[in-house]
Amino acid sequence: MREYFTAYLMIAPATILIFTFGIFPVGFALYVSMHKWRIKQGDFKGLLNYARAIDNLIYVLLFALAIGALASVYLLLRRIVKRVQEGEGGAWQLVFPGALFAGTAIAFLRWTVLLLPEVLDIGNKIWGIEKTRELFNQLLGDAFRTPQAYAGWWLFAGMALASIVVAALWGRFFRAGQNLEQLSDFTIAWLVLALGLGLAWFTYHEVVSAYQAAFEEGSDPGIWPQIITIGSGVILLVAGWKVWQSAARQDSNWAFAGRLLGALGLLVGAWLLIGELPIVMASGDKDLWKGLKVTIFYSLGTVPFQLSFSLALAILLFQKFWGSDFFRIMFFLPYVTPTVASAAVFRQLFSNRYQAPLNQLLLALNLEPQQWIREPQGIFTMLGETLGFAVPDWAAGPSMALVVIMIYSIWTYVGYDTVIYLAGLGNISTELIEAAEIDGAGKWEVFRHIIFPLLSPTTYFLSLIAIIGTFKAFGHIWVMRQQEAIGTVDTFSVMVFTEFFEKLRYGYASALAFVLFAIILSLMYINNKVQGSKVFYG
Amino acid sequence: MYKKLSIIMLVVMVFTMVLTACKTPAPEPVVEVEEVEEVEPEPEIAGVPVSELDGIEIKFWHVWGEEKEEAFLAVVEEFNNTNEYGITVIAENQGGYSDLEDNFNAAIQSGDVPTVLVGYNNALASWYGVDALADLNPYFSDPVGGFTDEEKADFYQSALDGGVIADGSRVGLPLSQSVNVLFYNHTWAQELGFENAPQTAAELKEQACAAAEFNNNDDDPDNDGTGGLVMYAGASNVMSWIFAYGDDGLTDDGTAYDFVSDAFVAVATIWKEMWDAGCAFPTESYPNPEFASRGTLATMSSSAGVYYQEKAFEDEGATDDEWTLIPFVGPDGQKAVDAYGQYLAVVNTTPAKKVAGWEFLKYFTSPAAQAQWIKASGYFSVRKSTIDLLADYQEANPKWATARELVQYGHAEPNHSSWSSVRRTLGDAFYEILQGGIPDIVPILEALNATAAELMAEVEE
Amino acid sequence: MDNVQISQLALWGRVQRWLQKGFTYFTLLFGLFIAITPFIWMILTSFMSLGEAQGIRWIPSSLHFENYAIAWQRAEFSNFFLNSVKIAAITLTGQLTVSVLAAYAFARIKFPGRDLIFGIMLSTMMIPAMVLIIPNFLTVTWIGRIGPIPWINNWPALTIPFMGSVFSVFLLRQFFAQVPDELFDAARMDGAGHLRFLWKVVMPLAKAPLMVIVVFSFIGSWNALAWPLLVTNNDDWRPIAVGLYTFIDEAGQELNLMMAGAFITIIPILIIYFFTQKQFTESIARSGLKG
Repeated sequence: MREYFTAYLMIAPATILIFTFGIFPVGFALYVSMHKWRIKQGDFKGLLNYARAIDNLIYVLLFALAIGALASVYLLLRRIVKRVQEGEGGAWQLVFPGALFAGTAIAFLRWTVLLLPEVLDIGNKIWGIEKTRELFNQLLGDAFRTPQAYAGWWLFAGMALASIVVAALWGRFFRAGQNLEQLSDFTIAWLVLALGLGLAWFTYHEVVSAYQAAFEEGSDPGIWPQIITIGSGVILLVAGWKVWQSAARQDSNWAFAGRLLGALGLLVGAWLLIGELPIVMASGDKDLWKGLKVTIFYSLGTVPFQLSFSLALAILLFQKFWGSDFFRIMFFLPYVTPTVASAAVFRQLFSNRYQAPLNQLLLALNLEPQQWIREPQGIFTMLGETLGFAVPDWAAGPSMALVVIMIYSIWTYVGYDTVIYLAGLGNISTELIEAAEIDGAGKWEVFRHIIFPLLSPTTYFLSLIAIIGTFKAFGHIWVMRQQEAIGTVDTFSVMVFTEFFEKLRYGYASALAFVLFAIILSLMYINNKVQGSKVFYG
Repeated sequence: MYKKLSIIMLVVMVFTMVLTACKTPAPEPVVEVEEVEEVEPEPEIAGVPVSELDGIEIKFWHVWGEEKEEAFLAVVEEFNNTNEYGITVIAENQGGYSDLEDNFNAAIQSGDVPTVLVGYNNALASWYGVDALADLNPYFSDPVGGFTDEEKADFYQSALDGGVIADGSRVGLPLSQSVNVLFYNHTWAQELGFENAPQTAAELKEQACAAAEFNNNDDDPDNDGTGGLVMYAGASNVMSWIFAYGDDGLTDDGTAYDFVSDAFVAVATIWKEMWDAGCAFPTESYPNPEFASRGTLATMSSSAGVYYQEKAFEDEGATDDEWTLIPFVGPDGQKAVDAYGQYLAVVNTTPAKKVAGWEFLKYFTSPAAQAQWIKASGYFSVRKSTIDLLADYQEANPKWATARELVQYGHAEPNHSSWSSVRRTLGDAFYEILQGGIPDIVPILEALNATAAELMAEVEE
Repeated sequence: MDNVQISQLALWGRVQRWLQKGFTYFTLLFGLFIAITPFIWMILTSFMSLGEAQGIRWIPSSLHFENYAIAWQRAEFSNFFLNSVKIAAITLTGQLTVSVLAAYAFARIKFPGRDLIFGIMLSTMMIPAMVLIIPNFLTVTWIGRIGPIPWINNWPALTIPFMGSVFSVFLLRQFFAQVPDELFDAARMDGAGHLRFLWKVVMPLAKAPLMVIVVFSFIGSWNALAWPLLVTNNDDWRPIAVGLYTFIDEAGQELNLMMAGAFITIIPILIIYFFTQKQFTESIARSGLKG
């Protein structure tokens, strides 16, 4: 027990700081995202900011999330049941304490949500008057004692007290430590259950009020049909895929039927989605989808190049020779240089002046000077023009301006990736390579069949970091962004920034940030599933 | 062990709860009791007795660095030493205009606001919209602390009007102005066979095309494609042309944006034609070196950029060329420049502070302080009488004097609180036009209209 | 196989090795060229006159050292420099203390809720930062109002929010988890508690990751711009990035001065990097692999 106490004491400073400056603001941003908030707090808008961004998709997603939460409660309970069956008796007695703890946490959350508007209002009360500490303390006390917040506080306090009493009793009657895992499982299960139910209720409520608003306008929002079609589309896709996969393991008769069924599910699901999603996308915020497209271009244009260049460099540098340390330091230099400085330099190198270095190079080669970061035309379109064939609009590719930014990004991160690849190479046993060489494998074969597979954990890690990085990329794009490029370099995060700081739509920008957060999380999940299964841990 | 921990936690919990619960209920908010017994009536400014101003400290948020900051601080110091009320101004530098805006937006949330600040009028309008700024009208006309009729008449009316929004509230007092003009290389134009500066838009196009052609046909292959007008489609440049074409971007009654008018289509078309013919070209946003080395016949620039342009001429070594500042010209010879002003505003705080802030504003716009400010900033005064104090400066800076004469052609950009967002979209639309084809012009402008209407509805609802 | 053939083979092998070496050097030199050209351009430009900087030149005709003097004075770097050093030092001390303690607990002590707390912390790394600025500003003003010292315009607002760094905790935890249990058991035998074990055994072993935190935390506080501008209203505590930023704003049309100013601000980072680069690259690599 002393051990626990020490541990909590040790993590306390970090936890408090990270909670205050990392988690509380997220909750706050969530609160903002549900309001009209232009400079000052406006009306509560529920999910309308989200609906404006991704249209009815938000309702679909939230229902899916609620169902996911309930499903994970089921899984958790199944795990507990399994453990009980394995002979860890007495677990069910923990249902009650678990509920109590979860309730306390929820009561605390509720209290903060009730208190927050009161505290925010203090900003208006002290607007421009003389500020003393007594005044603040008094106002804070007042905010605390508003009936709602006060009641919320007592509910939380009561539950906390009960939790402590129960914990103390429980500690006395059961042997402490042993059932800790079960207790936290139950607590989490209750929490997630409450979360799932709350979410489902809230979403339902929002859909109903959206219908009401639409009814008054005399239009039909068509949310329920969309939820049903998109939901069943996804379910069919997943189910079809599962059936197809499991059919592969069955014997012939069943396999055929299973495959047919699976393929049918896949087809119908895909058909439903293809029919519905473009409609949803078209009625959401077009800038969002544009930003997403730019971000995807940016990812595709940086991550593979960055990784292959750095892998090549790492393999060359791995052979110890005179000066290899020097090269390693130099390649790493761009990574430690402040973004503002190096991006400013790139802006000058890729200036559209004919005197600028890159254009001078082109002129020396007898080529036309280019607009570089001011060129909104697609790179493939431009290539096509030079080579003399027309490229259709959908294949225009990223704008040249974006390509310059990709070049900058590759330039910055190759050094970092190289260092990590070098470490990865250091972990490969030389015996394996030597053995292969004795067997007569050529250099390419050794690389292809031994080095590359053994490096897959490194590649996995690097691609993960790089993809998240491209979705969060902001500073250098902001510095290199020119109005002439008419938005062709505005990635999703740039878009969030302009909504927030230029258009001052705090509420909407916060909603967009959560959409971005959801995208990053699901990308990580997919990356984990797809690439993670192929990683070879040697 | 575990029991011990629980007991400790229990004690702590109970302790906190008891403490918070026992806290005495808040006393009534301290209301400042008005002194009833006044011996003799004291002068008041907008209802605030002058004696209350004594010892007040007010914060001024500004955005100026280097020379401008020095000049500004000198003005502040003088005010602090000489004002009759005992007000002290504390200057706080916030970085650039956009930083000041970010900081003030954050301060609005927290309540820690300054008393006076500087900004562009559309930003001020949007803050007034959330009650963050005071209406200056009561102070402006106050018999004790306001302006006399002569003083009011000494202001340029157009500058004053820029600080008044649609409902008549005065959200800002003009501090100084600058205008968007054309820098024009007179010597080169004469060599190209043009005796006079362009009088119509068609002439401007003709001269630019001639210059572009000259650079295409000279010995240096590198400078092909330069020579014409530097095309930077920022909103100030677009609006300068629009003013010359007799429009202002608003519907007739001024309540909504209108970007599909004949003027907009005509300007977009002539830009596009010049662009396609190579008579206009894009470069960095400061085309000073191009202009100094005959890389362009004319550039669109703020009059405040004269200093840097002169420096560029020194550094390029092509000082023989005579260059001058000319207005934008319309299809039939109308002249226009886009005038924008720096405005001062008083934040909506306590009555005494607001009065104190106003008194500083009044001081800063007095002819003497204006003269100091103009010398350091290169802007133009908003008071007619300031010019008497600037004879030396005028002589030493002939270009400034030329530019000042163009102020008479000045037009102000729309003064709607949504304008700062709309003007960015306007620039984007014109870049899109330059990239697209002639038939795309009207659809792009229509889309711009829709976006602008949406922004306006959102901000001004 | 006769002798001629063998010697021919040996010769061929040698040629092949040379070719290979030549290829390696060529590729690396080419990479080097791309990696450092921007730096070289920046330094060369910073020594030019304005006309040269905007022209075609690569090599300045004469070295204008005065650009540095002008930039230094006009941007008032000396004050900002000192502020940045102070801010970096406070942040660094705080961050190291906080993260070492937390990382040790996460790595070596098993306590209820450990994985949950750690997981929540990690997930905060994925949130786009711009929406956090306003709430954090409010928090900072509020703590300053009710706490013993003001936070706005003072060092706490500039340093304390950065002391709880998820990245540092994560990096150190990865490293601490690799310290063999035997060492701990041995230390236990000698009667050492967690803190002593951490101080006497773990810390000396963890020089490399600590160095990474030193460098990253230094770079972070050295380059911070938007946040310091928001929480300061005067020059008392403003860091160097703000100085550079306002200077670029004013001198934006004078490329040579801008580059001189930019170079001045990155020199300290380059120095720190060159002195710590060995441990730095080493432990970046280690942290990377275990992610």
